[in-house]
Amino acid sequence: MEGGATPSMSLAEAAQLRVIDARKVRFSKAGARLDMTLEGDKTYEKVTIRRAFPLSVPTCHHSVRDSDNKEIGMLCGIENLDAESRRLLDLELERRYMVAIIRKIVKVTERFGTVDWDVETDRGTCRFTTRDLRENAIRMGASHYLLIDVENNRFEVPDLNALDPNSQSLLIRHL
Amino acid sequence: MPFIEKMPDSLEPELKKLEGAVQCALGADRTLDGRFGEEWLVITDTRMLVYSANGKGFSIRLDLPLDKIKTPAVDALIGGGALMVTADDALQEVIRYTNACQRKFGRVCKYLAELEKYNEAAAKGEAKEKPTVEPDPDEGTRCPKCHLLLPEGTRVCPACLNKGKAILRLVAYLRPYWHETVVVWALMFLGLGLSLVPPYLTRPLMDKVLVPTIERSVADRLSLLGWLVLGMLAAQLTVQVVGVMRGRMLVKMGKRISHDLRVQLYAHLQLLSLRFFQQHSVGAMISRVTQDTQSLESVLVDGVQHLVVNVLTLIGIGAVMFVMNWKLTLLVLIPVPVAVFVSGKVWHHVRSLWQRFWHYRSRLTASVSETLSGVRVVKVFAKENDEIARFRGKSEEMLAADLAAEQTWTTLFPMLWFIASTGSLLVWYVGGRQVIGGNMTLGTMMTFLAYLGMFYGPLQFLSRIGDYLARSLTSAERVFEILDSDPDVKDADDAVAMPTIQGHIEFRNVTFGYESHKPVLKNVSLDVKPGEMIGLVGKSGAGKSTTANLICRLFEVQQGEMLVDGVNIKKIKQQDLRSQIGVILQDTFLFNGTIAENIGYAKPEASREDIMAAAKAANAHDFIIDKSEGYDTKVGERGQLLSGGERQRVAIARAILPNPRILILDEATASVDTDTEKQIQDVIARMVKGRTTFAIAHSLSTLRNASRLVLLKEGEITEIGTHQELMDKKGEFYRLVEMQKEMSTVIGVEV
Repeated sequence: MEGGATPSMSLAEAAQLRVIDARKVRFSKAGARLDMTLEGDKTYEKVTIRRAFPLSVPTCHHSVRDSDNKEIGMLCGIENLDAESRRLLDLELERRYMVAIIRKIVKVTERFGTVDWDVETDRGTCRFTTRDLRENAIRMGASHYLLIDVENNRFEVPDLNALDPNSQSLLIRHL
Repeated sequence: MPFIEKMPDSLEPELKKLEGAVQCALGADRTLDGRFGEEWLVITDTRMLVYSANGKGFSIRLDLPLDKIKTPAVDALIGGGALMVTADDALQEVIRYTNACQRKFGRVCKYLAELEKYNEAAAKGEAKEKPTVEPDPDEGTRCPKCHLLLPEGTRVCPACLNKGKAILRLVAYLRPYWHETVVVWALMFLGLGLSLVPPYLTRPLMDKVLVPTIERSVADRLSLLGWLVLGMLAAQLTVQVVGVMRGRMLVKMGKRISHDLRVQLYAHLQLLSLRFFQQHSVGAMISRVTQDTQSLESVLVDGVQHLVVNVLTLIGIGAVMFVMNWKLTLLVLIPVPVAVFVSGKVWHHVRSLWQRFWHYRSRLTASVSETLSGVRVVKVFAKENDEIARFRGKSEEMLAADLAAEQTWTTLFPMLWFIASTGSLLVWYVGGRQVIGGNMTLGTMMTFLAYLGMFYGPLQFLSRIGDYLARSLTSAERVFEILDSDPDVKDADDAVAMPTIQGHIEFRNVTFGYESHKPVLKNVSLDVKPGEMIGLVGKSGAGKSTTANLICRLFEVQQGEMLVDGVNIKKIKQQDLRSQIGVILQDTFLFNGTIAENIGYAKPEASREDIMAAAKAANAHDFIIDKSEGYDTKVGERGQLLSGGERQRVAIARAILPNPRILILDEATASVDTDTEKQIQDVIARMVKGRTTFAIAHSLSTLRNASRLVLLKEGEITEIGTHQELMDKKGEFYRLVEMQKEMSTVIGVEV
């Protein structure tokens, strides 16, 4: 076989997983277009960023993809980005991951198996409907929950115990 | 028709100011800074605008002339999306929205793309028809009346359900059993009346027998005591006998009705076309046939009776108590509303706790069954201890839920009794004072207490009757929904018999989509002569299997027509058409039974010789003979006791037994090994002679024998011709063949 993995080759090498050092990266924006300039390589236009572990490790392991959604590489060490690049990265992630974080549960109405939630989130107040909560309230950790509504929107409760007591009891009652 | 949603009052005057007609106005639910908020996209004849809510009203955030807009696209985000356009050579984000708005902005994007094309054409002077945007069809996921999200796979809103109508329709099912019904009701009234007797006898028992009086001698009292106790015994015995008789009749009636319903429902399901089953999940159908009919039985038989019995008991006891002592009656009624309210609440709460427990229990069961079936993986990775730990965790969760439910129940239940018993405490105190004061006899008070004890059961039942009825009636509606849905593929009134089909098949400008706005086949025309073998080639999703489905008329074409021997397929009796089409699919489905039964499925009257001949033709005879039970071998559920190749050959035998004029092979050899594939290919090569055949295959080498190959791309025929013609053409087909050759050389196999 040609080009097969030899035992001395690491798995990451064999799989051709490319790691991009954030120190060599500069993000810039033209209109709504995000570009990435990679030192020693070139400027990639219209890139998108995806989190590999959006729930468990949202702040690390970002996949940078080109305009054809082909992976350019995994961005590593984002704390080393310059301030403007970091701001643009955060902005892009914030835009792509429309996962609202629930700060307070105002009202919960259950009717015939569907549950309407009135909540306050980090992105403003909103109302959503869930069905079949056993399937759609995912427990990510001891007190970390993700609610998925009927439209497949996501709402996160990073720490149940950090909510006010009333919200806690409203949530627990319906899980 | 413009696509305009209902907008806030403050936005309407803003739109009036615009020039030209508004083509679409749609609300979005996110703002560009990522927050929830209201924005509106408005497209007029010449401009595209975005209005932002600014607290008081709306202001324009973005205003672009339509002819400047290039490359509209939807950027799919997580939990929503954004409409992007290029204007003035810069990429711009027009509007952002959550998943709820995805469909409509998808339509808008398509509309903008069509507009761009139209404008380009217009600039060149080749103006076509100007594109329009159509409103979204109602998806019917929410109740139009109360906006409640409807349960999956149904349009019946449990909140708006017309309960009276549903009950009336249900009652119709009682009609064949009307004399039983009459008897059961008569028995019910009898039992109800009799159950009031024993407490009533308490009064003379107290006043005339137990309390010492000077009026009666001891002997008199003793004999009266005997009669009264005997009376109570007789009443109670009759109540029980009547109860047993009523119960037996009720059960019989209930089971019979539920059987009737089940059969009627199943029969109707079999008549419905494939489209229905695509729209409804099999699981939901199973639960309707089994559980919903069951719950109908319960509402018809128990529910209605319980309701009447309980209401009458309440009225009866209330009346008796009222006549005996109306003041005391009013007094004991004071805790009633509290009792009803509290028991309703408690019941609701406890039920949700139980449901949680059931959920954990089913999760535990599922996980046990999963790890035990995957025990090989567990062993291979030596993960036994981790599995034990996982199980412990799940079991602990179940334990906690179980404890919570049980403990809450054991705590709340006595509380309910306590509230109920406060009524009797009132009777003891107030009634006791009246007895002491000589205003009431001891017997009246004791009777009162006895009736009071019978008062609370029905009350508790009535406190949750609404919930119970709503759920049962929704079941009823779900069943009726199926019974009311018409099969969309039906025999026409003037359908013609066609006992021998020649096999001339013609597609005339056929357009079809499983959802009408998403065509899978677009304007397909194809003329297939009798005996021709057509190979259908194309990527998955290109419309190959859909073409096969249309030949079987499993679905109705939306535009154009399909002709078989020159007759429109809609005018041919379905039975005649399908009995002359043999279909072999990639996943063969055999029914649980013997091999012979499976081969003879389509032609039950076939002789054993016919069955063996079909098996022989399908290269299956020899392997069947080798089995110890021969043709009597059981194939197991879905045919799992046979190997893939064996199953496939049995399925081929089943398809060719009725000697079909038309054969459809849908990836018939995709899931078997090379050796078996070769054998099956040989069979097919023999079978297709003289029959019109449609073969679908990914591996192009298997289609060499085809008289013509048809290449489908996104629902359209792009290339058509013999293998050689298409190879010479060096088009898409040539490219596919070359790619497959390359793949085979990489893994070292010659094609």
